[in-house]
Amino acid sequence: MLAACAVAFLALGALRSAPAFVACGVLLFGAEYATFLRSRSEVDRWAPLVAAALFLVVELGYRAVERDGGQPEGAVRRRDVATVLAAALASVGLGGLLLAAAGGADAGLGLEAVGAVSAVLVIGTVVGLVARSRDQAQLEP
Amino acid sequence: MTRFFEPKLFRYTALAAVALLAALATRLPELVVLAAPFALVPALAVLLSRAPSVSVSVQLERDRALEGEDLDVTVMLRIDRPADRLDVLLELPAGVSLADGHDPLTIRAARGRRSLVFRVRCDRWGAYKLGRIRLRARDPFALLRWEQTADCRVPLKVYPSEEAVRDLLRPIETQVYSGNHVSRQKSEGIEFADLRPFVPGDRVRRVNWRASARRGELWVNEHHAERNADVVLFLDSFAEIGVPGASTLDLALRAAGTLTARYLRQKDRVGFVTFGGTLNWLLPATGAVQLYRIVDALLDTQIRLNYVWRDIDVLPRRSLPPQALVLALSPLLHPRGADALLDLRGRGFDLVLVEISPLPFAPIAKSAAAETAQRIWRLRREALRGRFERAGVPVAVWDNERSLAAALEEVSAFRRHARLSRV
Repeated sequence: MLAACAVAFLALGALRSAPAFVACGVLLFGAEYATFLRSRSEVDRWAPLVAAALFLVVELGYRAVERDGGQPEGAVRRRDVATVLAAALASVGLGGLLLAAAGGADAGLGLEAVGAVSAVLVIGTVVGLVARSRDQAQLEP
Repeated sequence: MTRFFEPKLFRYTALAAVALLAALATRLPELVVLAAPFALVPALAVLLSRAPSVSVSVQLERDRALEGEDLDVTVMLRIDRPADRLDVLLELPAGVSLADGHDPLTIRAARGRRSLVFRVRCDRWGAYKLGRIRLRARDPFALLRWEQTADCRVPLKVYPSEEAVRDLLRPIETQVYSGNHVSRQKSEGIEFADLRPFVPGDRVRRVNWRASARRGELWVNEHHAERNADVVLFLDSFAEIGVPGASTLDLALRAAGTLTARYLRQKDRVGFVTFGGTLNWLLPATGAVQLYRIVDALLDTQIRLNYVWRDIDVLPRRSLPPQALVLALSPLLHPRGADALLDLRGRGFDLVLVEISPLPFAPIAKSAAAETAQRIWRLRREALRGRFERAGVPVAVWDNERSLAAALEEVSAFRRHARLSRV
């Protein structure tokens, strides 16, 4: 059900050139994946590939609906393709490392604390970015 | 360059945050793996990206063009700090459009120099300033953007295109300098005028030997002199109908440009008067410099509202020389313009009126009342035209659908068959 909604959001985003719908679609895909993971008892070894695939979907979706750019020349297109593929490959490697670290370390209070601090830091970053963006928006003519 | 954060950056960070929180809540390490690329890419973008440094200059293929012509605008970039994606937008004013290619262009701005060529079309006459460039650079994932506007504007003059005209209107009186018009006066020239008895001092080469042999005494040929003329183009700029690019003023300027070039080509002195919200004039002169002076004055012509009541008395005497042919281009939309022309006629000027018909530009009447109003307007225009004709002013109606040559021929026919009346 969630996956169907995600596909619908992605299609809507592509049709209406709305990047926000693309992000919502990927979020729903993540929720569907989380639901799938809850039904399993062991760690999914394909998770890095799923992460890379989701990243590719978001990145390609954004580039497809991007409206305000100019007509890119050939070199820009080639570099874009190379950059996205490199980022996807890097995310596979990073995911593998994270999974290995998670499997090797004993779960405990310390690790959970590190995770919580990381999450708080990321949320703080989002809030900070939004605040700075508002300041810049006031500067824009 | 000024840095901005794209909405994509917030969405990526938000996705990462949601995935990490979900991982904490559900104790699923796979969700941390999902969050990793969405957290890492924005972090790297913010930490590693540096503002590009680009300086811009603009060069036009030429600074003068005719309406409808294409020309290249070269944007030269000197890139000191590179950018992965650089959007280059050339701002085009109304009246100039892109003829070929894309605007904006997205390039990979590597360190060094780079030239981009935009081919633009000059759609409408006018004096423009071209070369305001907007630059927008982005990081490889388009999470950050830097913007800069470079004002490198250079002037571009677009002259109105010429109408095809074969024969020009001949003035009734010519001036004293040599030119291409056959004068009424008899003097040295080529065109045969008459025969007369020989008087002492006549050149032998002018003796008509056949006539002399027949009459038994010496007779000589007389010729018409070739003289130039003074022509004053009088542009009524009180009001116009239409849209920019297709209005009565556009037609008037096109006709004025054509007539100026043609009269100057045949060595006449041409002057120019714009009578409207602002009053401008150029004294009659001849030569290529005068052509450029008049065309530049044409480009500055606009419809301007002005409550200052001026009439032609404020014009310097030399701007309307006696015996000049005054060629008026008017849509006859404003009573002050028509009154000024009748005033000129009353002062004895050889006046010709080319009426730029506003009828094709008038809106279509959609109701009976509008239709009646339009019919009354047309009748009033006909009555005004009648006033001019009664004053001995030939009036030719010109619109987009017929050639200027046909309108001028109509005037020529009127002048051939009507006696010049003095009001």
